[in-house]
Amino acid sequence: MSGQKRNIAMTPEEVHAFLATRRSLVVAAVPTSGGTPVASVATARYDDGELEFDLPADDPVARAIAADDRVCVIAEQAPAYFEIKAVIVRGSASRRPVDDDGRVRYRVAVGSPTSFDFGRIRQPADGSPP
Amino acid sequence: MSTVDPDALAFLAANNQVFLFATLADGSPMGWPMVGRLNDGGMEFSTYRKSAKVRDVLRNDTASCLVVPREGDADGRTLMVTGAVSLREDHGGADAVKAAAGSGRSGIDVPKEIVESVRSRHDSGKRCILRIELDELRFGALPTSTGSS
Repeated sequence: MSGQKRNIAMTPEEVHAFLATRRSLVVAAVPTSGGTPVASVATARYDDGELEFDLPADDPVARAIAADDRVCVIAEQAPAYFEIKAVIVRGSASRRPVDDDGRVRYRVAVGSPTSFDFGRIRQPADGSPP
Repeated sequence: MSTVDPDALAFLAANNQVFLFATLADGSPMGWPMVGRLNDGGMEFSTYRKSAKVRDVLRNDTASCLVVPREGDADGRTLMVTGAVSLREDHGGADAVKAAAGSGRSGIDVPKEIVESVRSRHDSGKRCILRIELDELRFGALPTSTGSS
């Protein structure tokens, strides 16, 4: 086996296609300066380079974002080992106008996320097709 | 020694899809999707010793993780774990192999060649175990209409 490190990151096009399929995400925020992150699963949708997600207003993550808007958002699928994919987005959550439904909505720009696709593990390390 | 909620222990034993979190030096959150395993009263993760993840998680005394059911599981709960973090060896990779094989009711099957690779890298010291103690536990809920992430 080659010692060359395998690149299992998705292309930008693959990232956008994957995010478009997600209806929920894991969102983490830090509740107090220097604290340990809290995280929840949020409903979500992808729209033109941004992820929109919403949480109950009393969710610990929503309360944390009110104090510090920096978030880490993770979209993942794992139906089988070689179908595991994930995108990790870090950025600032901007709060959106709120409906009177007890939930708060945010948007975060996807930018240049970290990603991986375990399907690439089975491909040759030089990136050529399997 | 504090007593851990038996319901929480059962949930952790049954679910190995976990999102690990740490606070970076600039105070922002960072996370990684992982396979986790409840072992001897703590959550454990096999990872590369030289990874940025190890440095980031060990930067602080505490870390956290969110344990979720697999997509399609009827359990609509999540469990947030916060606790002291440490690194330990796993020469022989026995614990890592058990974790990779999926101890939960809804774990995915890890191919044999991947399990053997993990075992080998624990033997050589390239991989290690990150551990989070169960100091604080908080159940949450999945969004009602979406299932898991």
